[in-house]
Amino acid sequence: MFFKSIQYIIVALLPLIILSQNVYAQGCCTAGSSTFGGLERGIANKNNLNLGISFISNQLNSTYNENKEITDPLGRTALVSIFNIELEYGISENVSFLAVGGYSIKERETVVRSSVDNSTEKINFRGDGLTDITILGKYQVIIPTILSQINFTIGGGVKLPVGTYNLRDDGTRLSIDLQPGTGATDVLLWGNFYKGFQSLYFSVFANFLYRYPGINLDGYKFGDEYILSLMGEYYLTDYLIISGGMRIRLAEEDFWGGRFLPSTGGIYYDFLPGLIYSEGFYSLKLFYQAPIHRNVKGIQLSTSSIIGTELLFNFDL
Amino acid sequence: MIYKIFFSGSFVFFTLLFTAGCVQPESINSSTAGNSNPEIKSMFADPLFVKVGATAQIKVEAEDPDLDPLSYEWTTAIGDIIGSGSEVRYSAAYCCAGINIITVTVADNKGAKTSKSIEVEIVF
Repeated sequence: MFFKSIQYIIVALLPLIILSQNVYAQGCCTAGSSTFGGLERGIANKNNLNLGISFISNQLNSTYNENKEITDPLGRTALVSIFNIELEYGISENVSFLAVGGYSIKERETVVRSSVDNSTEKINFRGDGLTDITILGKYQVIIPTILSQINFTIGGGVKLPVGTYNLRDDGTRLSIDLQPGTGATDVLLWGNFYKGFQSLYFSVFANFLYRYPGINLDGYKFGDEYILSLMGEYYLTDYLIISGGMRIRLAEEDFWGGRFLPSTGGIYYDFLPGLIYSEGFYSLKLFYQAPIHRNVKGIQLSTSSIIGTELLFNFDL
Repeated sequence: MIYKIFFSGSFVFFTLLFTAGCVQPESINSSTAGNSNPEIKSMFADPLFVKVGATAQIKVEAEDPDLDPLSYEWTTAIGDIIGSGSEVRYSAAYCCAGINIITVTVADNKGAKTSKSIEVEIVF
């Protein structure tokens, strides 16, 4: 049975291994919406409603030139804070639907140089507003049993451009990395594999997300994005769980104005330790994300750390 | 019941999406009866070629035939526009090397507006 589990993980990994040969990632965080929470879980049980509230703080203080960390030549730092609400309802034993949306606050500091007298000036930008909304349908292909404890779920959905991508400050439109939304509809493909080892108080899961971004009315298209999480969870007690794993994010270059934009694209490997307190109908999760390795195209400001917390309620209706 | 609400919500989202998708970009000129469009006399950038992280001054000169007060909206798909009003600065990071388009829309207080664009090239 264990070898079957390994086979499933390899099958889930295979597309990423193949695609990683030629693709690059967009510079900043995942555009327009969160990819945590319900996008990293299996389905909700039949007639169960999951209500999640989360907060994610994404610090972007690291600049990379390909795989080397450098001092940012433009003195850039950024902070992205996102408050999310998610709802997921199980309509049958095998099918559930998830909706995730939120509110983001994006701040960036940068140093610009005058072309006239070469003087420098520190500029602060800020954009906040409702994010885009993700809707995902999940179908459970393999239902876990007491003996097998294997779960395999696939899904598909869309990210709808509910958040604005036209936010202005005193009549001047903010840069696209500061906009709460992307202005485009994205198509999502998703998969989740879970294997429990009850006697060892341990479980592993793999989560895969592919995003095909649409083009907004400016003609801007974020690069295709692939995210794979490989995680393990260990039950310290009946209520307390520690988790750890790796997240690999990979995306192609952004496209605008008839060209692929330079210094967008790369591959990002992150470590994700976490702690979960679970009791009855609710659970509280705290997690951290730290970079392990980056290989970006060109020079990019990149995530240096993420801290997050999620409060998840489960209602059996 | 819950999933019916869920599907209804999804329907509303899709309706909004397709409605939004049909919105056309704003026209270059638009005026209302009896009110003239603002006129853009000139628009220039200095310099036209800017190194990554440096700034270009962009200035527009406009006037309104009816002498209405004017407001300015600046837009670009990539890069940062700094400031507001009739004169701003444009700067961009490494992502945006190449020819970029900066558009200004000048509007009077009665809804008539005129737009004009200029190209600035970001170089390494």
